[in-house]
Amino acid sequence: MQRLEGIAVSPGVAIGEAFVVDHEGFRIPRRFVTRDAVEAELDRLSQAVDASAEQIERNRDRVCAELGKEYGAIFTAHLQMVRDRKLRGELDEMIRDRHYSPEYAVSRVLRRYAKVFEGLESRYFSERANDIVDIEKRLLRNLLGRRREELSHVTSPVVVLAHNLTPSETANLDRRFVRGFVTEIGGPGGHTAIVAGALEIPAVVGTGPFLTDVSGGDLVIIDGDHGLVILQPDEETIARYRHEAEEQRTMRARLVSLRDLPAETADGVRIQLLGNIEFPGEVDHCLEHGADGVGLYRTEFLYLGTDKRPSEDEHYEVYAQVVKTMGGRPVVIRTLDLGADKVPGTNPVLDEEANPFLGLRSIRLSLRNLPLFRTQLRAILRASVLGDVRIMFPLVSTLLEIRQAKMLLGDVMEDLEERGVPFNRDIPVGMMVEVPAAVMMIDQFVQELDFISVGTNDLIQYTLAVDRGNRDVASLYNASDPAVVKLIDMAARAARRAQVPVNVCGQMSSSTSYTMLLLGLGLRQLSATPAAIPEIKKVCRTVTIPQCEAVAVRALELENARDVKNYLKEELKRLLPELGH
Amino acid sequence: MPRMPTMNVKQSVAHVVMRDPLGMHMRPAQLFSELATTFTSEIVVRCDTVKVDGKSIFEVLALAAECGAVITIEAKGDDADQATAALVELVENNFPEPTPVKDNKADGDTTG
Repeated sequence: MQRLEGIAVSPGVAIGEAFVVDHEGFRIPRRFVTRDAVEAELDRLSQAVDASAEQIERNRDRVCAELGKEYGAIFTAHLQMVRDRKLRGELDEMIRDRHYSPEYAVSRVLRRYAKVFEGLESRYFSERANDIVDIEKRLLRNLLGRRREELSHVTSPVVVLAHNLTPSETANLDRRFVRGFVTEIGGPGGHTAIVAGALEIPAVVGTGPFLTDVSGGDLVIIDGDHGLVILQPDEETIARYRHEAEEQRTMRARLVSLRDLPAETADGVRIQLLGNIEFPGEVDHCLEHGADGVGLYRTEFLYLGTDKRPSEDEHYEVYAQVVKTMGGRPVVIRTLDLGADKVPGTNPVLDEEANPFLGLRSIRLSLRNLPLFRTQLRAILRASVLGDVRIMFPLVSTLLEIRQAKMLLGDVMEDLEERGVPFNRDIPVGMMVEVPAAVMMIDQFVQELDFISVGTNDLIQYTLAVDRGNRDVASLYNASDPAVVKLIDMAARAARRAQVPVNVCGQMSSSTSYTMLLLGLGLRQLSATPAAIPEIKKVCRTVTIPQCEAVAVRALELENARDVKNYLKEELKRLLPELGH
Repeated sequence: MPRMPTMNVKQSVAHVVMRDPLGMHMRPAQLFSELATTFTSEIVVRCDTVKVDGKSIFEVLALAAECGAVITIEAKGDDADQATAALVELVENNFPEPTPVKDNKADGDTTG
């Protein structure tokens, strides 16, 4: 048994067979094939051997022509190696009699050969091990094909172990089969981590190197609650975690039973619970968890993992999918919220920003790249006839920005009108409140908007001047800080005075610890990670508004983050012991 | 039908000294196993206590036969005699290129 510690980025326990993707993207194979697959697997081996031989021959001919015959000779030897009958006999036997997968057989036999050479005294002979490794890799490459794509084509339950996963690879993991994942590198703020949370599968990142210790098919436990990965677990550990996983399932099932009940406080006040989503597929999670709509639809994924800008139709397609699936429930689409470094074709102006979080990003970037911005606005407007679509601008810090953005929106509307394209002229327009300056001027902002949404992640960061990715100061980043609570209070009061709906989105509203506080501050709309909705609903249905108001009053009197946090925890525990974690 | 007596299987054994300064390295092993494969006989090669299949390049390489080592070639089968003769010749002539030399030798091998 081997225990690895990493960073917990998505909670839950997963137990399953390993699907391993190594540094070069090689999938380290599973060990066995089924009896009736043997013939097909032998066939696959034949094809891989032929393909390898062809490639080696081509290499040989090229090298002979370019460098001379002596250099080509090595490939003649390699050619003989892949066609070696003894090798083939051993491989066939392993597949036929022991039901090994061709990949596993190739690795095993050739690694054994390589070991023999490594053990030889003469340096010349011991170095031949490299030639054998070369043959092994070539055969594996041909057996596995474009194996990275296989990640999205998994057909049996697995846990994915990889050196790294890109956000789009993570997003494409099939939730039906991928029970969890672990990456050797990565941190808590990374996009991969956010996507893991969105997929609602247990995930641990940043474990450091360990892939050489596992092979495909090994049983692995991922403890996403504590950031642990357990390789070759013993029986007792497996039993313990099975029990844990079972309990989590029971808890989830209990919460799911709340799905069709409204989020209504014990004294009858209806709270709107919305989902935060990143990928179109996540609307299903929203519906599964009984969300009243989508409170924050991040659109950044359209720009990530590609080096060309998304077209208007590409925008439209994904928006339309989300809006249609939500069937009349509100969908708040947030315009581009990225730094210039992440958006294709916008970065040549500044090559490097010293403080990207204070730099050209989000609405600032959109207002400087009007064609890019117009494309997105047009697509959102086109989708607006399909349901209840609302548009939201991120990182607004001045009134001028909101006026410019609205002016441009009006412009785009005129264009569409001229072209005879239908759209909703009264599409609600709102902004994210995430810069303290915007809170200071909130009374003016609400006059010009149809709604506001407090984005707590950035608001905390900008209010407390903390980069939460920086380990040295990350502990200062705290949603419980009284300064943060006061800013939310200000925004909520201003919105109420102007009778403009106000929402809170971000990790703060996804945590049950803050539900009572937020309701007490006057929030009647919360937007959270879909998976958190049932728990939050449970809190809503248990408390009364006066109770929450008392909690908010008390919290606003406290002087430091730790006191606020502990107080909120205790209050929650008192009311709902089973949720107090 | 009576079983075919094993006595009838032809056998042939020969000894030969490795003369290549690098011993049985990649190129010789490749040529050796390639030539061995052209015969139907079973071919076993020995060097000291190591005994390998002469038709497998991996095994022939694993002999790690150094320069000056004596290797024993044993063939068993219909073409056993031809096999040992051809393989001994290959080693004795220090592994010449197998294909009849088509290129004009004069312009290639007389450098230096």
